Amino acid sequence: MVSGDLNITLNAISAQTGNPADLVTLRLTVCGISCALLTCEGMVSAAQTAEQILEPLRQITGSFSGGTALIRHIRQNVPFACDIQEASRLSDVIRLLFSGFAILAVDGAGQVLCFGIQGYAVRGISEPSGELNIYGAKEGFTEPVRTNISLIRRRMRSPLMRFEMHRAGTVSQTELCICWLDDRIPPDLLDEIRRKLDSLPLETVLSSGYVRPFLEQSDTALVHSIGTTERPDVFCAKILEGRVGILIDGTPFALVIPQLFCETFQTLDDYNYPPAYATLLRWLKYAAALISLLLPGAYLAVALHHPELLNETLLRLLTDSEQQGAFSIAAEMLGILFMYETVREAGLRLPKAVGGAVSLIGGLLIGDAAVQSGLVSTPVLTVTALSVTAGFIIPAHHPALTVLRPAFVLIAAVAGIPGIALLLMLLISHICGLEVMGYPSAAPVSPLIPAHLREIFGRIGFTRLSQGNFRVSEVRRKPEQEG
Amino acid sequence: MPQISVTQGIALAVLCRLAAFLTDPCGYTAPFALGTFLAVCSQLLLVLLLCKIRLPQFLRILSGAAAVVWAGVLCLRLHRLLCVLHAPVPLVTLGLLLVTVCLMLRHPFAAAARTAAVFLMLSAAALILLPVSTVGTAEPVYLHMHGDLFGGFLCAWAISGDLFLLVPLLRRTKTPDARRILTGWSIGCGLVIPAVILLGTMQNGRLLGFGGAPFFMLLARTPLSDALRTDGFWLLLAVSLTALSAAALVQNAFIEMRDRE
Repeated sequence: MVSGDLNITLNAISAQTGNPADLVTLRLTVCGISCALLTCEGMVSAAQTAEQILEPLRQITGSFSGGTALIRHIRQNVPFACDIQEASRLSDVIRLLFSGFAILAVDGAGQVLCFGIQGYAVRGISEPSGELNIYGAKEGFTEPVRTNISLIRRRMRSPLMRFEMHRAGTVSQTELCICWLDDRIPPDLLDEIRRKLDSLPLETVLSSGYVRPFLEQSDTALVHSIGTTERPDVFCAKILEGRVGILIDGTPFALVIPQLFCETFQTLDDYNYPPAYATLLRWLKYAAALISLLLPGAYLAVALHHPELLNETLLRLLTDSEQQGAFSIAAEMLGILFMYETVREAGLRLPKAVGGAVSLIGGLLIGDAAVQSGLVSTPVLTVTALSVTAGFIIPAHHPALTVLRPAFVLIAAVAGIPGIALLLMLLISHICGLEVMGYPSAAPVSPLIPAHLREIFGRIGFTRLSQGNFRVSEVRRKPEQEG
Repeated sequence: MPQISVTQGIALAVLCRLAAFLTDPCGYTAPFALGTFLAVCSQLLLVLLLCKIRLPQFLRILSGAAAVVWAGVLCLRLHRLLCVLHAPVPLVTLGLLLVTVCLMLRHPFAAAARTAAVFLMLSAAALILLPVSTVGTAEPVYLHMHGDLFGGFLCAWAISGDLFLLVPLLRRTKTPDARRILTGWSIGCGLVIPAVILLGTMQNGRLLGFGGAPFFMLLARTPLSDALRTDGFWLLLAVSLTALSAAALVQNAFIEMRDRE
């Protein structure tokens, strides 16, 4: 607790925080009463401290019986433009201090005043790097959670929009904000999320990836049942469908609960294009996913085990090119996939200037030199290139595709088409078995909800879309039976 | 006790039969199709009877054991089909099939049921395309060929292991839903499968002489199969459905034996 003696309070704070280098203590006297203003260097704005705290304090006149009376006077009579909180517990004081509040401790008062004048350097709002859209807004989430809340509030001015702050991480004390629309959220979903967030067994939360495994049914699933987005407009669209969003301080990636598998093939731009074009794009993505996943394995299965499935022309083409290869087709395929992933990872992690060069050299090496030297056959290279390019269309599934592609190649090499069928079966069963807090990921295909299938097969017009607004609660698994 | 939806119930029961049908060396004649239809009618009566009476515990355990045995039989039938079709390393595929079934058993029963619903849609789409692709080559004259009605009847009974899945499912489903599941199963097994047999009969009389599953031969002779033959897809489906049915049969048997009335 905050002591009535200013020195004891300051010593207690100093002892508990280890008197860190960034703790600034400014002693001052207001109307004859000793005070101290504590700030964390770099976390508060110096201009605002002078303008919004020191100047109003300087203007206070009169005499006060003690510190408590002075604090009461400040709260009641001095107008401040910033957020002011009173705190009497030392742990709260320290938490607010390191959150960018200026703490005014007054001698003789059992509580302190905390002024919200955060002024740390932050990255500005910019276009999201991973979710580019042509027609959508060019604003993306940024790191401070409060800025992100304002981005949502600007789009959702409804009084039903709710924001609830939580803390996670025993050491980092990271702020999390749960967002929802009060008229459409299933209460048990919200309670479940609150319960899980409050019991996070983490010391720190540095990104959304820290929280997501604890909310999902399984942390080893290949496909996520909780979505992430960098876009406030996408976030708002999900909230409108009755989902819960979680903003995490320090990361521009917000979580959306639940996410259905079919939604990973949809983008905001789909709703800006004419329905026919958007439908075509949607089918293109489905085809791309299949090509990306199955093409290398299917090519290998046909070439190695089922050449009778090809007509004469294709067979001759394949035989001619494979005869020139130095290794077996399976080894070539796995080698090319390995090389591609190596080049991609190198291009991603290196500084941008070097990364581009690595990609260029890698492209030349794989694309030209390997074929000309006879190490790799042209069909294998074409199939791999097609497969990885198709995978770029659905970035949400990139990790899963990267893991599954070689698995399909291996099983196709061993057992041909039946092997592919078995692995595919296992994958579909895995996706169908996924659910988060009672929401099956495979809905509305399975459990089947015919009314919402239309959004899977195509993008319907806004007139019809507005007639039957989708609510995520409709796909909820009932306790006894699935619909 | 896990409960599933009507669509999922139909899917599980029908696909289990379809898996057996795809791996079955049945004959393709009109009397054979009629025999199949009559067999399903008699099976329907049996199912209705079994759903009405209260089964003693040992019979339920026996039914569960039979379901597990049928799952094994399905796997062996697939192995046989792969051998006949000269698929690569059928023994390895059988091993992989067993591994897949074991991995699928780790998922909840709802996962198998949902997967079945997805595959029912896929199968339905493929079966719709089948008559379309055979329009130009079907010869109705083959419908007058001699055939074995009783053989069809027996054959449909021989592939009726799905009853070990269907009856427990119906017994633990609410009455209106159970009625819908039974109707869906009757249409799938009693009408669609005989219709496919009739289609096969019209498509090619020579199918009678084929030693493996005639279904694949039927597909191999359709016009669509000229460039890139469609056998691959149906082989994919046969393998997938066998894995799914085996997993569902075993899971359902365990549920049945665990959740005693």
